[in-house]
Amino acid sequence: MSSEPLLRVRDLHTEFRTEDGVVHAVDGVSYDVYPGEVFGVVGESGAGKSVTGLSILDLVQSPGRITDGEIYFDGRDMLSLSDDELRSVRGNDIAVIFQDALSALNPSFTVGTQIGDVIQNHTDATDEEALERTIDLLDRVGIPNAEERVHHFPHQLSGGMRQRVMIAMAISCEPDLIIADEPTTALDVTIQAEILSLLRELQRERDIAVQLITHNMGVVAQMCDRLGVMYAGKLVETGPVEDIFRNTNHPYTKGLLEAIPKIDDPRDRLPTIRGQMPDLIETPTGCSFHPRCPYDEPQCRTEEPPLGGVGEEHATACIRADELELRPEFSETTESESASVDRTGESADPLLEAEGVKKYFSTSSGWIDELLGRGEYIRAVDDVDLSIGRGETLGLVGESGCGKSTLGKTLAHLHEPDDGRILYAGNDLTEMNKRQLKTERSNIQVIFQDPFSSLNPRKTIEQIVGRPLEIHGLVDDEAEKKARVRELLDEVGLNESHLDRYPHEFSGGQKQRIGIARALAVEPDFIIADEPVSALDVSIQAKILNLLMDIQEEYDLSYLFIAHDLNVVQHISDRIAVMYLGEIVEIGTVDQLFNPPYHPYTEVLLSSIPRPVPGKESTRIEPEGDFPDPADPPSGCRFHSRCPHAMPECERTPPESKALDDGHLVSCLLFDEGVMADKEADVSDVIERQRKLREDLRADGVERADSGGGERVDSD
Amino acid sequence: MIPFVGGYIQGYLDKNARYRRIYARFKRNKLAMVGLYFSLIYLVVAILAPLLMPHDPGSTDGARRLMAPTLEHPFGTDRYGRDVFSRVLYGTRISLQVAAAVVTIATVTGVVTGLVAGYYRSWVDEAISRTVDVFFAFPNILLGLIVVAILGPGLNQIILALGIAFAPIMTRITRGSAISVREEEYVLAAKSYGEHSFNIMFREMLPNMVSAVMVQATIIFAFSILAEAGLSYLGLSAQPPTPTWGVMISEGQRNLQTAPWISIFPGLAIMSTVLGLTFLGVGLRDALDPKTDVDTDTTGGL
Repeated sequence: MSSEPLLRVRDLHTEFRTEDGVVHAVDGVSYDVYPGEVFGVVGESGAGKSVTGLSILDLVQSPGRITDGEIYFDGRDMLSLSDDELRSVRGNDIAVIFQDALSALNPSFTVGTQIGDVIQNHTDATDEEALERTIDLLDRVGIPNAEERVHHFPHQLSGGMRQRVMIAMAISCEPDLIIADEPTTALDVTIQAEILSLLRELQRERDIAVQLITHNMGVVAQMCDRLGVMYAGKLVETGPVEDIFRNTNHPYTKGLLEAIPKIDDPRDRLPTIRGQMPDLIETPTGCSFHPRCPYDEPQCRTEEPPLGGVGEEHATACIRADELELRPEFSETTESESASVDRTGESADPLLEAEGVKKYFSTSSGWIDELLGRGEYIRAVDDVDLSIGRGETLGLVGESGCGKSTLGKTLAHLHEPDDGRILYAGNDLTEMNKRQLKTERSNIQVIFQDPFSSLNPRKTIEQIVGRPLEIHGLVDDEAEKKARVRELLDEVGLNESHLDRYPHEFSGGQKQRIGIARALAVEPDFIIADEPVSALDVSIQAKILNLLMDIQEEYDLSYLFIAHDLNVVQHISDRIAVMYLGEIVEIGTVDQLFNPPYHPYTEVLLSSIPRPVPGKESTRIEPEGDFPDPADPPSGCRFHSRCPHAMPECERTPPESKALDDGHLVSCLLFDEGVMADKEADVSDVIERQRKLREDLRADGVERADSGGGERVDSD
Repeated sequence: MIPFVGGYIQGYLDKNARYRRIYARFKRNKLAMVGLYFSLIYLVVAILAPLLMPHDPGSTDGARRLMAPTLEHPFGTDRYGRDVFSRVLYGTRISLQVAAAVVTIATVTGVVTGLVAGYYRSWVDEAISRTVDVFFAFPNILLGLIVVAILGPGLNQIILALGIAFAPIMTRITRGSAISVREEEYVLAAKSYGEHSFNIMFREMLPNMVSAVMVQATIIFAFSILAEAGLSYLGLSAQPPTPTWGVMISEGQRNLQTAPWISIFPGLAIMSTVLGLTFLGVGLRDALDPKTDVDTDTTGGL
C-alpha cells in the first residue's frame, strides 16, 4: 500500500482489572488500516477482537482501560483527545456497527429519530433536512417504503432490516472508517449474504475503510482485503487475505481454516485444535499458542515470537515460520462416489416416523380466546412427514422462524402435536399415557442449543447428569450413580474432578459436553440435537461434531440434527430435510440434495453460504424480500414470494411433494410435470443455473485440494 | 458462645462438600456474618427471655413511674412503673414468634401459588392472579378485622390474618420470577428426560428463584412486626399488658415527649432485628448462588 494509513495502531494494551487479576484483553497489538480497504480481525471468542475495536474509540467499559500504546486516526492522536473531541469523531469520522441490532437500537424511539439524532449531532441540519436525509439513507440501504419505515420502532422491523438501519446510521455522517463488530453473526445465512453485499457495495461506493471483526472465515474470505488473526490478545498473523489463505504461516490460522466443515467434505472427523483459549490473566509464557500448537518446540515456551515478515505485507508471530510448510490441508476426496457409499440412508428400518404432524401456536392473548378458538395461529409445523432410520442422521435446515426447533421439540414430545401421528419404533407417542411416555422419554433425548441456559446453574454436574439416571431407575444407590456419571463424563471427554463443579465454571464447549453426557445418561436410541454447535467457536464446534459422530458409532444412535448452517449439517448427516415456513420443501440424501435439480429454496441457501475461498465473488441467488409473517403465510407455494423462479401458478397452487429420485422429495411446481407440461424450457434453464452453482461450489473444493499438502495436524 | 457455634457448624460442614462451599461463600461476606450473629443473639434471647429478665415484665410499681434509664432499669420504666428492659426482652419472644409464623405462612402459600401459576400459565395462572388481585384490594387492617370478626381477637388470629395478607405479594414475586425461569432450557431439558412437574417446579426452578423470594421474605418479616403493632394498637391483636414490641411502641406514644425511652428501645429492637435479618437474607441469597464463587464482592450487593 502506498498511501498513508488511515488508522495506525501501535502496541495497544487494554486491560481489565478484576478481583482475580488483570485481564490482558489486548496485549500489544499493532496494525494499520488504509483508506478504502476492508481489514478483517478474526479469531475465537475471548481473543480480544471486540475490545480492540472498542479501544479505538475509547469505548471500553470500566473496569477496562487502555494502559499503553498509540492510536493515530487520520494523523490525530486518539488517546490524547478530550471527551468533546472524541464525541465529534465518534459517528462522524468513525462509526460502529454492533452485532445485535435489537439491543443497539433504542426500543423507545423510531428509527428515524435515532438516525436523525446522529445527523443533527454532527451537522447543523434542520429537522426536515435530517428526516429527508434519513429517508434517503434508508432507501440506500435497501429498506422498502423508506418514507413509511422511518416512523417505525425497532421491534417492528425484522432482524435483517434492523441491521440495515444500523448500517444507515453508520454511514449517515459519511465516516472514513466503520468498525463492524460481528455485524452478521446473529443473522440467517440468506440475510447475512444480503447484509454483507450491501456493506461491500457501500464501502466501495463511498470509499469507506472497514475494520470487520468476525469469527467466520467465510465472511473474511468474501469481504476483506487484508486480515489480522488474533489469539489471546495478540495478532499472530497479518497480511492480505489471499496470502493468508494460500500461504498460511501460523499454526493457529491453519487450525481455524481446517476446522470449518466444507460442502462435499467426506464424513470424517474434522481436524481440531487441542485444548482451549487460555484465560487472559495468566497467558502461557513464550508463544501463547504453544500449549495448543501441534508444532511446538521447547524454545516456544520461553521465547515470545515477534510479529515478523514472511512476505512483503505478510507477517506472522511464529518462530518456526520459516521452516514450517503450513498450507491448510483440505480433503482431497472431492469425488462424490466415495462419499455416497457411506451416505445412503438406511430407510429399511425406520425408528421414528412422523405422519402429518402439525403444531400451531396461538397468537391470541388470553386463555379465554384460546378456549373459544379465536385469534390467529402461527403454523410453526404444518403437515410434516418424516422418517428416520436406525443409526441414521437426518439433518434439518432452514432459516430461523421456519419451525425446525418446534418440529424437533414436537418429535421429542416436549410439545403436544395438534394433529398427526408420531411413531417411535412402531408405537404411537401421541396416544400414550403419561406412564408409557415416561418410559419412552428415555429413548428419545434432546441436546439443546444454548449450553449456557440448558444446564441448571444451581446444580452440580453430578446432580445434572445423575438426575435422569435416578428418574428412570437405572441406578440403585448413590455409589452406583456416581460411578455411572463418572463413566459418562469420561465418555464425553471430561474428568471426574468436574463432578462437584457448577456449570458456570465451564467453557461453552465443555458445557455442551455436559449436555451430551446428560442426554446419553439414559441410553437413548434417538437424539434430537437442536443447533448443538451454533453457539460455539469453530475449533470447539469441530470437536463437538467429532464427539457426536464418535458416540453415534459407539451407541448406534439415530440423530435428528437441527441447524441453520448447511455446511455443518451436510458434514454430519446422511439425509437432509430443508424446511421453510413450517413445511418440508425438500428431503433427500446429501448427494441428492446437492446435485441439481433441487428446490429453489435449497438453491438460495446453498448460494448464500459465505465460502472460505478468497477472491471469489459469490454467485449468490438473491431471495426476494424478507421472511414472511408466519401467522399469514403466502398462498399457494409458501416460498413464491421470495422465489427467484416464481411463476403465476405458484401463487395459486400449493405444490405437492414429488419424488425426483428414490427417496428424494421436492415440493415445487417446477418439477410437477402436470403444471410444467407446456413450459419445458423454463425447467431446463433452472436446472442449468443450479448445475452452474454446483460446479462453482465444487470448484472451491478442487481448488483447495490443489493447494493442499504439508504436514497433517493430529487431532486431539 | 460464638466461637462454639462456629466450631460446631465447621464440624458439620467438613462432612459435606456442597454445604461447605455455601458456608465458605457466606463467611466471606462480613455483613452476612453480622446478620447471622444478630439473628442468633435474638433467637437465644427469645428462647431464654424468662431467665434473662431482671424484673417481671408485668409487675407495676406506682413509685417508679416513667423513670429514665438507670443501672437498675437500663431502658427506664413506663407509666405503670414496669421495667422496659424486661418487657423488650420478653417482647422479643412474642414479636419474633409472630414474624416468623407470618413469614412462613406467607412464603409457603405465596411460593406454591406463584410457582404453580407461573409454571402452568393458562387458566390456572388466570385464576390465581385474579384472586391475588382481589386480595390486593383489601387493606391489611380490613383483612385483620374480618378474621377477628370471625375468630375473635388474639395473637394467633392475627398471625393467620397477616400471613394471608402478605401471601399475595409473595405470589406475585414468585410468579414473575417463575415465568422467566420457566423459559430456560434446563426446564425443557428436565421435561425431556421425564422429570415430574412437581420436581421441575420445586427442584429445578425454585433454587433459581431464591434471591427474589429471600429478599421478599425479609421485607415481609419487617412488615409483619410493624403490622402487628398497628393491629394491637387497634386492639385486635395481643392485648396489653402482653408486651409485644408493637404494643410497647404504641403505649409509649402518650409519653413520647417526657419519656421517649418507652418507645425508643422497642423501636431499636425492631430495627436491629430487621437489619440483622436483611443482612442474613442477602448473605444467604449470595451464598446459595454458586456463581458468586467468582465474584468476591463482599458487600453482598447491598
